[in-house]
Amino acid sequence: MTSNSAIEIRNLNFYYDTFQAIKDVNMDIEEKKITAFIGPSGCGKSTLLRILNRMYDLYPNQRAEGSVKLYHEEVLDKKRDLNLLRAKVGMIFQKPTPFPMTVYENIAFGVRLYEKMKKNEMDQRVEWALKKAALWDEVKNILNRSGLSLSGGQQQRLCIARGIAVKPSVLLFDEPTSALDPISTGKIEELIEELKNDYTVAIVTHNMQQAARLSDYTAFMYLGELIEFGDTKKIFNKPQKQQTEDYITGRFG
Amino acid sequence: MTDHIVKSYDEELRLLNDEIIQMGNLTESLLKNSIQAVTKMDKDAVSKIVESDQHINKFRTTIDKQIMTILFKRSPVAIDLRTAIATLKISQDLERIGDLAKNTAKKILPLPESLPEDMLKSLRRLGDMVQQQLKLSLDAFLERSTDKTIDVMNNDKQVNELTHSAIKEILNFLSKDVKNLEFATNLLFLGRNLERAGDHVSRISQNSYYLINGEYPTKKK
Repeated sequence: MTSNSAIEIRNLNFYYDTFQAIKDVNMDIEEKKITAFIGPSGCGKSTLLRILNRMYDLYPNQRAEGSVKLYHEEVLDKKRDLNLLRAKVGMIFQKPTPFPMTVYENIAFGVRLYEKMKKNEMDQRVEWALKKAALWDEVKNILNRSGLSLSGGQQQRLCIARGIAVKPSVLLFDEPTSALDPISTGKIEELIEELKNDYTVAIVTHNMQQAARLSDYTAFMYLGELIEFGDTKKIFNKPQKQQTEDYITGRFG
Repeated sequence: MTDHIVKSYDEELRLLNDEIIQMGNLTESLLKNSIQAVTKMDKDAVSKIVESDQHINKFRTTIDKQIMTILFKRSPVAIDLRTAIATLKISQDLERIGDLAKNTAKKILPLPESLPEDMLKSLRRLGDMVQQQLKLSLDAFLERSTDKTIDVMNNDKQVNELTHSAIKEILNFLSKDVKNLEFATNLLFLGRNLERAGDHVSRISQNSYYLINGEYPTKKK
């Protein structure tokens, strides 16, 4: 593990019942950098993301083998407190998923699961999270309105604020802009770039240009294997593997 | 290289490749004609040379447009991006070589029919060398040969040496009679034009090297 790794993945295998979706993946995810995962549908990139906060534990017959360490602590440890893990490793999905509650409660609800605090402290936390997610100015006067009344882009930023509010160290994004228009996408991308000052970010995207624009490192996966992982500039200029070049240039048959 | 999933993208890249090859061939023959005109003092050839240079300029405009279209339509990456960037730069260098070859030929217009044989010989040696370099450089691009790009870059030193000896001959011609001053000035420009064409040839190989390897040569190999 290098001194700057937030997550260290070793000999990771993952199974959906008998189907092996991840095959012996080894990689380090660097702290406070953006790592993008690219690859065709079914390559295992979303699965890998879901392992990082044990999302798969919600489903039967799914299991991971190997080691995933978050700041030296084993994520795959059966005894690990999953609620605390998911607070440390937040996830934002393709479709915005605000709770059917007010904007304020969308943030406060999650915070209350982990911390007890007074009303004015909670007010401060909500404001802080909404500011971090670049949403405060747009919602500060409508905090009591339903989160569902916001636009798609605003809802996605609300979900990001919700993730940030519980003070995570890692944020996982699974296709965070594929349901959004270009303007909302631009705002989310700008936000993700700012977030890397404070958080380690991993993002799964089908949009090659998004990976090229946003990430510091890019991982290309195919059929459950990590084919190539390296500096984004190098991957998009001169990848080492022919398979990577074929995929990113649109030559994949 | 396998084909793109989108066939029209392959077609666009194929067209671009055809254009740059044609432009290269035309530039090669323009340079050849220009050097022949100089060594034979063939003033009648100059107008045809000026005309071919205009064709080369048109190629440059067409290629610029093609690359612009590929960039905005395809957002190319990796080998496709390197192809677009290298081709854009190579077409600029070919256009400059065309200009320099044209200007070289135009310099003979005010010169007398008979000039010292040794001086013409040294100019021919320089011209032939630049011409060979251009051929090798275009081959290197077509064959995507790193070795050949390195050969071209290494040979540039020889081009410079031949330029120096040609200039020495021109100065020798000048020193014989001060009335030769005007002629000698034209000849000096002519020699410099050929040397600069050689520099552009070398740049073509630098860009071919980048196209193949994803980085520019760090120093002369």
